[in-house]
Amino acid sequence: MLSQIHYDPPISHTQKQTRWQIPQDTKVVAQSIKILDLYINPVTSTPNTPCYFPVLVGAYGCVKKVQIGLDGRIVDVWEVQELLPYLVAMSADNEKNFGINSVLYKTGNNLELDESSGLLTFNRPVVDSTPATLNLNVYSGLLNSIGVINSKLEIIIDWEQSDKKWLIPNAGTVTSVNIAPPLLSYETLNLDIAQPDNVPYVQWERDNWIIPQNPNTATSGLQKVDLRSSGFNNKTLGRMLLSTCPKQIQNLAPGDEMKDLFKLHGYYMSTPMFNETFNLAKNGRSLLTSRGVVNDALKHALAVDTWGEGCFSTGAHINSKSSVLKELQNANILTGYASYGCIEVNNRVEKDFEFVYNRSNPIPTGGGALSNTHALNDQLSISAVSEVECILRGGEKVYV
Amino acid sequence: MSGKIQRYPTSVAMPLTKTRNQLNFLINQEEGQIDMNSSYLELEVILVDSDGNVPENYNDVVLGRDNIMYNPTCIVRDAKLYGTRSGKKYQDLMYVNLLSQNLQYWTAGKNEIRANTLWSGMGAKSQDGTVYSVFNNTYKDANPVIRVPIKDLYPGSIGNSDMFPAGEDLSFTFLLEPYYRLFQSLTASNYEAPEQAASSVPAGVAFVSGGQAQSILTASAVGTIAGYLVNQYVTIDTNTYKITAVTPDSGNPIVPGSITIDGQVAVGNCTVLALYPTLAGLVTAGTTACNNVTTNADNFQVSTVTATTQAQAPAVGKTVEVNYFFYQPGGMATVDFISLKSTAYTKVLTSVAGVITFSPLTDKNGTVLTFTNNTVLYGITLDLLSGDNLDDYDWNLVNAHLVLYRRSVPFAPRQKMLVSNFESMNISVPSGLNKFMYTFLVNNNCYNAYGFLPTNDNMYSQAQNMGTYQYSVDNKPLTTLYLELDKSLHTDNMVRTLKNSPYYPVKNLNQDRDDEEAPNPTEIDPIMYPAKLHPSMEKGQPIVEEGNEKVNLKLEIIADDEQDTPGTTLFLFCEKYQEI
Amino acid sequence: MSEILYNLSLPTSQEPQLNGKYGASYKSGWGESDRVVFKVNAPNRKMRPGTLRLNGTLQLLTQKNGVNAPVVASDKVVMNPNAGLHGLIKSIQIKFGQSVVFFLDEYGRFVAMKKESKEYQIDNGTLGNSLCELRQFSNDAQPQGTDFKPNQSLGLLYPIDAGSTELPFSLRLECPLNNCQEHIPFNRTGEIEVSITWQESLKSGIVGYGLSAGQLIKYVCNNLELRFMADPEDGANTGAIIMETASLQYCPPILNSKAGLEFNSPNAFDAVVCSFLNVSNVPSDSSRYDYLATEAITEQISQLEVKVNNTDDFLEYPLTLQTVEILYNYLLSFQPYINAYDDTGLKKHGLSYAKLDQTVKTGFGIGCPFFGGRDSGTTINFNVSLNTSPTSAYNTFMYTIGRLIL
Repeated sequence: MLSQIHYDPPISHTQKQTRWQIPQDTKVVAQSIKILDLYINPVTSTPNTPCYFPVLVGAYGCVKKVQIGLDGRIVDVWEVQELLPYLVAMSADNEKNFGINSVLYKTGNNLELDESSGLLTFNRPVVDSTPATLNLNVYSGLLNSIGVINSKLEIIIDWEQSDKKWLIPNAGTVTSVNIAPPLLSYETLNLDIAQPDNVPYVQWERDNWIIPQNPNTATSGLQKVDLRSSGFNNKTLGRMLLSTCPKQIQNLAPGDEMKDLFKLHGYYMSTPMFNETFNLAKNGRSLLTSRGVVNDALKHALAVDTWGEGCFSTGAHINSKSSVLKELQNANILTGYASYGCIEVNNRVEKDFEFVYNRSNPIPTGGGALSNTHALNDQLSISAVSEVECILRGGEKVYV
Repeated sequence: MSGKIQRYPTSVAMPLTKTRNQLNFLINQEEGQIDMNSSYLELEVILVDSDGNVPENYNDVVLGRDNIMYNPTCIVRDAKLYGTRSGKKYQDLMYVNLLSQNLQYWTAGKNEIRANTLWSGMGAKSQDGTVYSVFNNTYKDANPVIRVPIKDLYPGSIGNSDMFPAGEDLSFTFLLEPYYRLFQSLTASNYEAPEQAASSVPAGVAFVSGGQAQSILTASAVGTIAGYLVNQYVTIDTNTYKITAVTPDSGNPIVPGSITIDGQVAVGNCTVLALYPTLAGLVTAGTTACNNVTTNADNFQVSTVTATTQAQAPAVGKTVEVNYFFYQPGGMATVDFISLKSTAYTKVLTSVAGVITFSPLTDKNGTVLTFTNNTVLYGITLDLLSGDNLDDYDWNLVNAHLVLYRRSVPFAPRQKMLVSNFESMNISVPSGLNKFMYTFLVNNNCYNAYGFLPTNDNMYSQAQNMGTYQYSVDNKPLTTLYLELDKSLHTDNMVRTLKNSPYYPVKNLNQDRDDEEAPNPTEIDPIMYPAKLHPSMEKGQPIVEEGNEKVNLKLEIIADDEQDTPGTTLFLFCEKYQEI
Repeated sequence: MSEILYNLSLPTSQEPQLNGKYGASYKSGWGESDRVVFKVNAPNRKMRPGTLRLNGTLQLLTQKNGVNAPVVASDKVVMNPNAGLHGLIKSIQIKFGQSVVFFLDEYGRFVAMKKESKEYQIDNGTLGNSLCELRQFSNDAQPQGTDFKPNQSLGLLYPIDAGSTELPFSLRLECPLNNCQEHIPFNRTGEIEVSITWQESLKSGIVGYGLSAGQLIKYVCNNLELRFMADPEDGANTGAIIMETASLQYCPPILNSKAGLEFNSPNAFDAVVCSFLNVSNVPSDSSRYDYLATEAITEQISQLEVKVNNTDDFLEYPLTLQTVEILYNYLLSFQPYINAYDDTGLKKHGLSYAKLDQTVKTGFGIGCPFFGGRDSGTTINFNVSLNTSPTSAYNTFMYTIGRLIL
């Protein structure tokens, strides 16, 4: 059973989309597919400004959409960038710090201890770095499950063109990015196998929940929202990530304060809210116990229990509590709790979900990056990204 | 029946040297299994020269060469394990030290290496320059003892097993390293890097009276105390203190009690030596420029700086790295360490012991440094960059023990067991060719192969102009392109191959390790030629090829443009399954 | 319906009213020497190991001569970096039905010892749990140390803000239910009772480097709850379920240069670990010493013998001048099992030289892994010879690590 490594150029490449095709009977080991030699050249408004990848995401952020096609039919689609810090951390198969991720894949742990200041600082800016490598099975649940592929395989990558999302310039903005055509690298096996069928896998899907603007603008004004979602009806869900982003921040140009926040998770990071609690219910029964999620420590603990301990291994975190943990903030690193909500749903949804969400105004103490600059009473978009169980049957994707 | 920790002596007479180098342990039948993962070989080693003399001191001595460390396995060349009654050959591997140095370079992470330095005796240098090693005088035991993990002597499933079945007499046999030199000193002998360049007065920088270098502060001294700032350090009677408050502030006469040092107010006679002269001291009344400057106040350069090292003479011909630390007070009452900048500069010492002259003051690229007015030169440190390979000294083994951790879990001896282990082969590479090709016959159970090219001097495998390669099995290439060692496709191949190894996944790539671990940079840039022949595991179970056939594994290496192959030896290690 | 994974258990008694004991901001909550009990049950379900958490909020204050004050920045309050908020717990007891299956006293110290031996020390290697347990080293400017490096023996600075004093936390409890490789069915344990006794605040590992003599840190925990995840019972876990357990053995302090630390364990065990704290460093009148710190006694050990039932049939040779071997065996003791549970494989044995180099000398302890286990009633004797007689005694904290088999 001989193994062989292939290096294929794309059949088409533009700054928007790149495609590869691998013919039938090549017997590709699905988990081994990678994008190699990804050279990214940003052009910044201030010339020669170094640019950085967000620490927990790295070059994985440059992909907006991944589509996997078998025999001409698209069977897996990925388009949920807010999930990236978790996906990348979970796929780390090496030592937590300074492992191959930080060098090869341009992800994670680009923080380095600066001896003279004693603080953690960046290294490895994009402009003078070696090319990146991306493991496609980080994005695609199908590639993780299917084993060896015999059908004609098509891989379509849409690049993220909105520059804000995945490149952090030291000053100014990124005006354009040039991506050179990368290679696709994969292993094949020379054995006789049948085309796999009835392959179960997970696909990541998103539903957007909107929390309207908080009408209670008085100090400690509490907003309670109870919304129903039908976006996941008739689907079986696994783990779910809840990522919050106020409308104003989505459209924000990067100022210094926001940079500190985005340095880790990228611009699609979940923005810390104040005094946030939530719960999820199905058929009237709360999934997160009767109390729900009541504070940041619990929110964080849920994330660790759902996604694994390694997801926060860089040691730097987003400040989400209004006041208490802000004291740990310094020039380059914000500490505190990441503000992603997480839950293991593990259930089939027949009727709508119920999402109960509360938040209150920040107490204006004048500390920290968020309280002064941004309206946290803004309309809020909650992105619910979930593992959805599918099965590959007769070459088509079928929801379980 | 219970577990034990046992320490077996050897029957071989000591001392052993590189010419009399067979070490053997016979373990009589004991019950229970051996936790090979936790067990180790303990070697009491001294350094001697050709006359049998021990060096005066072991300052900064570590296992390694050319500023790169060796792990303790370096002292063992061959490792064998036999069952003396059954005749089973569990392992007979030559050049296990070469395999261990080179494989571990990629597969042991930074933190694991740090951890191993403690208990194994491997050397490490911390960021502040302190050298940790059993051979360093500070930490030395009565005789230095290095501990070689059994895991590294029996790589693969045997060494990594925590329950190796041992229901019979075992013979552990080792051949110690007869050829490679193993020791180096991380700093040149007879050199002590100074902590700060004490009493260094940059020549050409004049000082106004009071509050400057070499000034004496007494009860009746008057003068400005400009230049003393909170958080600066001053020396009083050979002790170093930190200034925590300065009252009254600069410009006023010094009176007893006006400087608070480390919480205590300085009264009476004290000699205050400013270790950190300020360039601003050049400013004489009415001018805004410094002496010997070439441009205006905010862009001045200093033409000559002289630094004096402490008592011992630096080794002439060695390269020194000089770091300057500056800050800009700019009206701040307190010094913020964050604003310190360090500018590294290297210089080969050629001058008289104790004095180093920099003229002009430049950074490491040769650009002359310019300063704004009031810049304070906080300190200068000197670090010797290169160490010494201790070629005059060799090792003597004065005592050896095998420490085995036994478990008491009962088991039934098996007829056969499946292990994953290594086999080594080597072939000389002639010099002067532009292409080298060789076909190895390997067992079809071999799933990974690693090619290494150590030099005649250093155990680490280095490119030596052989930068492009491709493997084929029975003439089918394993990679669709030729791979170049400095390109991403090769790194991809290495990552894929090592991921296929059940025990040795890649955990670190060299860039990060060098940056962190080596304040003395090394010239050594290890490489390997990896090959993945077939998958080793599926769903946690080994995939073992049928039969005992051989396959032709061909390695083609193409020399770099206009270069030739060196005369050296290529080692190939095959990682494979075997039934024993 | 078997779909709900998350479960909650609230205390069996009301949160104690404080009646102004600490001031107006501290209305109710549990504090030092209090005991809180939880009943945990989920019929027809099995507990997912590693998910049992104690959640709540923490409030701190300082007290001197009976006068209370909020914690301020100049107090420089830090947690013990290896234990974090686990230091607040003195002991945990767990019952399956009516039987006590687990009791660990001096819980905070055991957590500190175990975490230190198994996880990496560098700040950028922080793992997820260390955040919500405040159990990590800090890269803030340190109150001690004069060089540029972060002081690697100091923990996180406690966050101060005049606006709010409540800090939420979530502790993954160090107990058998979280140290198991498979699910634990409730139909085999019956109702599980978890009771937690809170530690005296002087011994909690919360230290204020800027405090003055006589100044104490006090704490209050509110909104306590236990949460865990449980999957539906499917009849898959029928064999022996092995969980790691630990327990404190009483051992007298070391007073002389030749000391025998002997104990007789009432339970079977697989390994023994012991750490030390000099009596002069035990905090008594102010919160300026870290009770959870481990004294670097191993530097001074000239010989260590380990005897089992007064014979040498386990460690067959004394460790002399072998600080490293003593350390090695201590660290091996934290992982004595054959795949008993998976801890993500992080192993940290390093940085001891760096640690010994600290201004405040902290070190590891002594220990021995007894492969194959030891029965209850076994006598273990550590014969420790020190280079010099100690001027004040070393308190010993001896723990056995064993298996709880269901």
